[in-house]
Amino acid sequence: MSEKLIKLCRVIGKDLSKLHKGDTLSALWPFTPNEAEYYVGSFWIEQLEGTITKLKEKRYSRKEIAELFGYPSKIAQYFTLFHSAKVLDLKKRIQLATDLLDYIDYYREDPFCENGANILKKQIIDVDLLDQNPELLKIGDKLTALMLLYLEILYPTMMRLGHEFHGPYKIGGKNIFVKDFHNLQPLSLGIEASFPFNNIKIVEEIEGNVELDFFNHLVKSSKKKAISISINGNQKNLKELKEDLEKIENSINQIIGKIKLFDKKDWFKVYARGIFNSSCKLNLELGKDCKPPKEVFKKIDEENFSIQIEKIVQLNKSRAMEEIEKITTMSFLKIFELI
Amino acid sequence: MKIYKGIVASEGKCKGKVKKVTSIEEINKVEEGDIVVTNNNSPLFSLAFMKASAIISECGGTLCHLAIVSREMQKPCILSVENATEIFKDNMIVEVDAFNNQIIIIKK
Repeated sequence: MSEKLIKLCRVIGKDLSKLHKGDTLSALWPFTPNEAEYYVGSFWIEQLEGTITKLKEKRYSRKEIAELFGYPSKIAQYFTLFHSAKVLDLKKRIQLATDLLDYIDYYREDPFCENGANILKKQIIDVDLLDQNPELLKIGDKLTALMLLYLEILYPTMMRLGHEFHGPYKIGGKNIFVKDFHNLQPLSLGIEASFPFNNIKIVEEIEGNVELDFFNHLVKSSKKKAISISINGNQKNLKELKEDLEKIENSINQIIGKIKLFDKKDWFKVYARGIFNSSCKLNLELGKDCKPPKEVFKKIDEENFSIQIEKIVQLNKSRAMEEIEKITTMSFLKIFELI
Repeated sequence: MKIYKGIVASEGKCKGKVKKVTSIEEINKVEEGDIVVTNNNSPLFSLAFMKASAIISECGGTLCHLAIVSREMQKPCILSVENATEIFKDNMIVEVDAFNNQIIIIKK
């Protein structure tokens, strides 16, 4: 197993280094992920490990636990929180990482997406529904952009908790790419609000190729030739989509209106609720709720942790990507005491 | 003529009027086709990004959410442009050439 974990750390190092280069560690929007992890990470990792252990004790199979997560990229995203796994002893840390990898493997043909594709083992795609109408293609682009922006609000820096991009699949001589948006209700915001739909599926026939990494970052996208869009499981025509798009825009605007005065601590709480909510189905199996423990909010309210973002940014700017990759890989190897 | 550069997040080329958006209150001043210049890639600026014909930001890299979103919208987007919100003022006309990583001020 250590070989698989070493590979995991190398893939994480490679994919995260691409994120760091040129970026500002997301320091410039209302919230910094690294700071939020300080408040949330250890509580969540401890709970996740405990929940999986209990489910296994209750004789839940690998398949049954994996299916409670719903999507593999969500699980992959959890690894970005793994520096907090130090709260667990080494044996539990390794077991949790091994289990999570195993659940990803349940869904993906290549769990690490090493060749740039995220091919899901079980997938039903009807290519007969694809339509080349340029107006429909434009709506698809707009809908994708809107949903990604919306998910970044619901799950700051963790937006893969609400979507899975997968493919490309070769079906009937066509190159097919699928965008599944899920977990769309704004539960993480802690406000009275709702989103008009629970899931959106966009199926695209693409011209070239796309490239995805382990975390489901869309490294390279491609021109679309045809598209089909279903909302809440129902295939939609152009007229219906225009109406639905308007509903989505209105809903997002209303939500933004309610959260525009959120401060940094409010965003930490959004982050906390989003993460705890993402593994909700596992908790429900044990008859537990999906809210973060009160200690999380207490820590957010009472402690003031601050990292020197500017220093990190400047340091990373002076580093070559290879150096960042090496440092990141080493930091993950250290978590499992593999160096 | 000075050329400004950053990190190309989404290719494309267009000309337009600059609208600086550094707070939510400034979103409403953006009209369809404007070029949004920001120092904050917050998704709370969604509306401004959706209306923009191109996006220039002081922060972000090729895999940040704004980069992915701009590629999906097929809008030119250049990120990590140093001091962009100081350099580009409201109503300036600029050309964003994200094929060649160039931003040029056409009219001050």
